Amino acid sequence: MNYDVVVLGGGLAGLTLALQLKRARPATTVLVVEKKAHPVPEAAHKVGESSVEIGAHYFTQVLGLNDHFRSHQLPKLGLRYFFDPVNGDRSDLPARTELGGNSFFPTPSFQIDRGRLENHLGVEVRALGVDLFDGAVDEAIGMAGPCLDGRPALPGATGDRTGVFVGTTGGFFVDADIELHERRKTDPAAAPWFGQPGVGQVAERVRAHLGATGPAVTFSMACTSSAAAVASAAVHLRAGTCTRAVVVGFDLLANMTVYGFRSLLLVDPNPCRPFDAARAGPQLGEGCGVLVVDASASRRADAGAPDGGADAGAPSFWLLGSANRIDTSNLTGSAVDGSTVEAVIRGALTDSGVGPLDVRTIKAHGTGTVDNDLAEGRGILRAFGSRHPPFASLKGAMGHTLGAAGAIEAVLWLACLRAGFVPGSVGFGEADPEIAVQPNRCTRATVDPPVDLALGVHLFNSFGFGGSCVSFAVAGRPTGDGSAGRATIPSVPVLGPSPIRVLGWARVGSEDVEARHLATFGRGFRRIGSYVKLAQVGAQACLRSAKERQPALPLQIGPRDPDAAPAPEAPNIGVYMGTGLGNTEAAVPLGEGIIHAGRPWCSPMAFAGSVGNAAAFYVARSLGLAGSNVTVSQEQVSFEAALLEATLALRAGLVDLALVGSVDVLDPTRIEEYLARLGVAAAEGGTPAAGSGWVLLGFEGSGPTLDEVSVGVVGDLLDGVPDGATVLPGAGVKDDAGSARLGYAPAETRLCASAAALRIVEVLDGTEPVARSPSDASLLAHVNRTARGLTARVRFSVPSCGQ
Amino acid sequence: MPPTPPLTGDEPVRTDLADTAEIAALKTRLKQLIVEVCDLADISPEDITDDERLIRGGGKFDLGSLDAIEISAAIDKEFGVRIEDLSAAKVAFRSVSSLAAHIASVRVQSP
Repeated sequence: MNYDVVVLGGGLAGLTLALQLKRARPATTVLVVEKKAHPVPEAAHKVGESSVEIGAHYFTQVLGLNDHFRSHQLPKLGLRYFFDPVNGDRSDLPARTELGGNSFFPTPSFQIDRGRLENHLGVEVRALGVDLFDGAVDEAIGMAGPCLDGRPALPGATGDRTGVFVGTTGGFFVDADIELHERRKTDPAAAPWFGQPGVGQVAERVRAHLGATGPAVTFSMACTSSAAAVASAAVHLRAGTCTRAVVVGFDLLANMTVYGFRSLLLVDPNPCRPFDAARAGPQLGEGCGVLVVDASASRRADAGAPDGGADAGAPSFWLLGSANRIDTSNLTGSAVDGSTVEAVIRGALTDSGVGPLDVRTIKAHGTGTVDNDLAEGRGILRAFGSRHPPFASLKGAMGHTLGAAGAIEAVLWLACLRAGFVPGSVGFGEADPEIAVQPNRCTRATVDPPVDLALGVHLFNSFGFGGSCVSFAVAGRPTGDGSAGRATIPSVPVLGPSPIRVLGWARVGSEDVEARHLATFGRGFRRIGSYVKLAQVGAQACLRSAKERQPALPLQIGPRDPDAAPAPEAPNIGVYMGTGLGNTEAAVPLGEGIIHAGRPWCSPMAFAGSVGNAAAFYVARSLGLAGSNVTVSQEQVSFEAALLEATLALRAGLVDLALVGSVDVLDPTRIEEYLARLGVAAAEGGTPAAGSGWVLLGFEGSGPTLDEVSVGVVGDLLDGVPDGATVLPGAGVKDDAGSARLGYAPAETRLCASAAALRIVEVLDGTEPVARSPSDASLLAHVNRTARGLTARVRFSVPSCGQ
Repeated sequence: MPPTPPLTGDEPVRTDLADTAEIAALKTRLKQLIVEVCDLADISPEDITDDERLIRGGGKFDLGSLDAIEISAAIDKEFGVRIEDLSAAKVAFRSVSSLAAHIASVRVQSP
């Protein structure tokens, strides 16, 4: 498995390079990795006109492909003119008058069919001993899942519903980088604008591209983003909100990421050395990884389809279960004693219905930072003891792909397992006595003995800024003949027998947030801006409201020492936050400092605090909440997406209570530009809002019941809304066909994710005068839609209005 | 600017630079920077003495390693002096005096 040279991309350039190299140095071992499968189609592409005589010389003489070119490619005869026949009939070319040379030029040139040439090159390089690994991407996509069966994830037959779960930290942020550079060429003073519609557009674009009709949710949770997307997909598939999940991890390196990590002194100038005694941080990478997880294929397998490759529809892997924990000790890392790592590993195993002895391999997060590897190594030791399963970090081999790492590394790890070996930890040399455990060494011996995929489960760890810790488990076959693991758990209806209630609610505007924050939290939090403060004040007000309405709830709402550990008897409260734009307040000045300044500079803590999940981290830290922490962004329906995640987590028993909120801040000087980007004219659009709205959901207590939360694509937004219900339109449904039933016309359209949260809370509160439908004043529905058509609907039953 | 030679951490704090007017001005500016970048709302620059321990001092400021990184980034921005090496940082971050001495000595080495 070791090569002297690996060529990434086996197109024309990669294959000719490999051929030339192998001819010149026969002893050099060469691997070419190509995404397309050979043979590639002919007559699909030609090779550009610029490669005429010199290209022909290179191909025929330097590479010695003269025979192939003479017999399989068209020689060129130069520029020729064909004159129209008198009668205007253009069909008979040979009959026309033709002007041009009548013999081939002494220096030949060719009209090259690229597919035909690449197929020939593939044969040539293989004959010389080059390993050509073709079809690499097809191979990777079909690799994981409760079932990953390699079929394209299209909206399928009746009953199939595809959900899209994306994990990314920056989304298309790099576009803003490029755009600003371009604008500065003509206007050196152009202000940075990083308020693109937010990272939620990634899931929206993938959903629209696939034509998927299920939920689309983008997780913005630092380096756990795509692992959180995998974990959520498992919950969704069990609940039946979709039958197939496309999980995408995606991150491209922007200037901000590069300089931000550098400012934190976290990037090793040498190749990354995970778990090594001399480790000094990661190196950054970028990329995209996709997993297709198919619940229906899992059920087919459970129903008795033989496993193994004989059945074309048989999945390759089974996604069993997952866990998500928050570590509130530190914004940039987990507790170095390994306690949170142990907790999330145990949580994932419990959720998967397996025990520590079932684990065969562990895909470590292993960033190569001093603290991550210490915490993770100790956590593995705590969970498994000194006879732990082999583990390794892939970051020494491929860099840290940040929010994409969870998905990319899962795909790569599973590909290695399927090839029969446990990957080694590239870069690991000398053990660190502080860590006490060692990763799998990167030697040829790791290939042997081959991994038996029929045995045991494989664990995947991801940790990130904002205290996020995610772990999930995958098996090579249904565990215990399908009777253990949750792959076989039947669909749990989103709305179970016991109603989910809204136990408390609150909203905070941006006006007096500084004073309120100081009054509530004192000076305990440094270097946080009004975005985080809005979240903290709103969440605390929501818990206070819940405590007033339900005195029996075991909630602590007074001031607390943020460094104190959460009380052991504290309820398991998950924080679910949705944001449309994220923390633009932090991102804009960061981008300004990095791109505008002659010498790029950024504040390390401002960079760390700009991650999507930082606000939810501070909420959990200030309120002593030790459950999970999920941050999503889905354009105008971000709050509804957070509400959906919270509802599913409550139903699945992952949390006892769910604190769900939405926060957005806006730069008032750039509202016009923002509206223009959303394609909304300012005159019709109204004012985007800044603010924070929160609800506390749970089973025990009194309050409005949450009757429906759906995010997906429906034909008619009002389909299924009871006749007597009052319908509140969200920001995106101003001119919707159903507007005749919109019993309430908002004075303004507020184009931000938190608008939905603010309005729902206002209506629950009775502070917003709403003309209720007289037929059933207790029923409320809020409908919303994004610009690309993702829709959301939330229905409540309110026992007594406005109280 | 040529790269700063790495420090081993064993270097003594230079005291021969301790009392010039330039050093005094440097210390005053450093105290302002610390208050500013660490967001120390209840502390004024004058409250910080020259020789008290800055990081994990347990005293009136509760500064941690992340504050040290923030301060060192601010020093980089303002003075063009990088303190990336951990052992050098341990020496430099003892106090305002040692930070000033470090900045001054790097400037002396690479004017």
